[in-house]
Amino acid sequence: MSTLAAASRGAGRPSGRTLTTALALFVLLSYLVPLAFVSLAAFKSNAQIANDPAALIFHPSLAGFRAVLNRDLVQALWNSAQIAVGATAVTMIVGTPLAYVLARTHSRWNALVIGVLIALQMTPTATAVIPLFRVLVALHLLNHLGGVALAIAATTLPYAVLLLRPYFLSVPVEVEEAARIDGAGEFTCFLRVVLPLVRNGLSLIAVLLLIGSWGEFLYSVSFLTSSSKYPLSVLLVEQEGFYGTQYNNLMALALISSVPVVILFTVVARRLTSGLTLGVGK
Amino acid sequence: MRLGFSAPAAALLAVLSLYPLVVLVQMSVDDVTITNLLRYWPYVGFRNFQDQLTDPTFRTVAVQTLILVTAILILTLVLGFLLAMVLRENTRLNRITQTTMILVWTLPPIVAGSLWKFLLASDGGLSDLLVRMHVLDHPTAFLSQSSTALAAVTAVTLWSSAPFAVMVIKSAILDVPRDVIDAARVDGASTRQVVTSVIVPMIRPTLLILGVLSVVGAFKAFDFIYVMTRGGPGTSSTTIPFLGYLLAFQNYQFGAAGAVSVLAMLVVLVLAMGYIYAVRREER
Repeated sequence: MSTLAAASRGAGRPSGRTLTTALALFVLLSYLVPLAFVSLAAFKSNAQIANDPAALIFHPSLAGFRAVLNRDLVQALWNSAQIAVGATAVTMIVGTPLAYVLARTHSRWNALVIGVLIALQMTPTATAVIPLFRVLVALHLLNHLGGVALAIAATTLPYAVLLLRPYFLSVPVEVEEAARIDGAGEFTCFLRVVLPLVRNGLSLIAVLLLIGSWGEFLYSVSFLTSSSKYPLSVLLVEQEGFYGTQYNNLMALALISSVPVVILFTVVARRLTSGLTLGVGK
Repeated sequence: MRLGFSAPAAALLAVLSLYPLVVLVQMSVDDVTITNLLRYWPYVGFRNFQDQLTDPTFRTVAVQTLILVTAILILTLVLGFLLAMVLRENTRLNRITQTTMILVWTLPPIVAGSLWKFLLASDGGLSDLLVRMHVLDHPTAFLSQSSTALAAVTAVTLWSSAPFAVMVIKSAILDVPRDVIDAARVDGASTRQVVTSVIVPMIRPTLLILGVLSVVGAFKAFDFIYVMTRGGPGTSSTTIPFLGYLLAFQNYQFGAAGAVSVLAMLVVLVLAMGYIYAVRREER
């Protein structure tokens, strides 16, 4: 990269660096300002927002938080946690062995399976939700958090398998052969030898799945019929209709919904870049 | 043993992904409404498809989908490349910018959508800002007028998906071997020539894959549309998959929804083949 920097300097354009810095600053602001704006809005009264939505100096008010902090919110947080953990657990338990097999075998079927996974990964959830409704009714899983978690797991499974496979490809076969000679069976070898070697990849994908299923909305709003089972995402959208333009409440709820995501994000932030680019063309 | 490792995943996908697609195809050739959804479906052949393909709403929605997807594709690649070049050096400002962007990328779409619904409202932030800067002469609700709703949805989708594109393109740029760039410099190539004749050709496979992925992402977009416009006003910000959803869960015309969704799946199959082609090309 320093070569490129040298290249820009060598081209006799001292303004190049200033321009780059200015552009980076502009990009930062275009992401930071909206976030700051709504975070502040959560601490304003509705009258203050209506009066001057952009004010930086104001008397902070907790009215928005007070309005949304109730039993429904606690219930929704709990529901979201159950859905996210359930969906992630199912996806990981079912997806990891498949990713391993797809990395270790070289049959003609592999290409077909990967092709099907890619097509399934690309299926719009708005399309999948229509027949799934009928299927979940038949399985007596409508209005069950478990049904939503299973539906999410089926949707995220192809994604997880395609992201996990490269990690297994990077484990040398020799490691397993050594374990086999020592008498380990195929399953023991997978569990005790291979999985520990790819634990970084496993934890990264699990965190990504948690983040994704925490915010899942469409299946939850379609398959859950009683409001006591709504996760946060559905509560957020419902509140919007309820409060109308009471943006302070809405933004307070949006902030609360984001807290777990931000925590998970800080856990994996460093590894996120390399882990994801592994799946895209590497 | 191999079978044992893949059986659980196969079972889950068979019941909750593949079988539903069979149900969807069946639905598309049957007369299904809310009254017989859970009972017998009478066969009507390709009538649902004929109805949709001749319906002006479907045609408008198809054009809108094409606009949204094309805009996202071009803007993701162009802006993604530009920003990746800007952010490629490891300075403190660039690190902060990239972390902020990725944080936004991980926010639940429902949260990001609600955030922009507020910012884009007539009494929200952006309209207020533009009025103060005298760009607009009166407050505007970007999401509730049909002339701007689709553009607004496109912009917000781009805002939340750009971080991923920047991240991927940046790591591809950093993977371009230094000696190749050095050699080009020694041969007297200008910065522009280094970019157009060395960097872009070398990261083309990544751009191709990312292009397919951004088309897929734009085509799949649901949460943003739902939370910001519900596809409206009218159907002015509805895409093909979203129309399928509206027909099923708002109009309860499941047969028509099935036909629209099967058409959406045909688009997905073409995209999947494009993606596989792009990946194969890179691996070669």
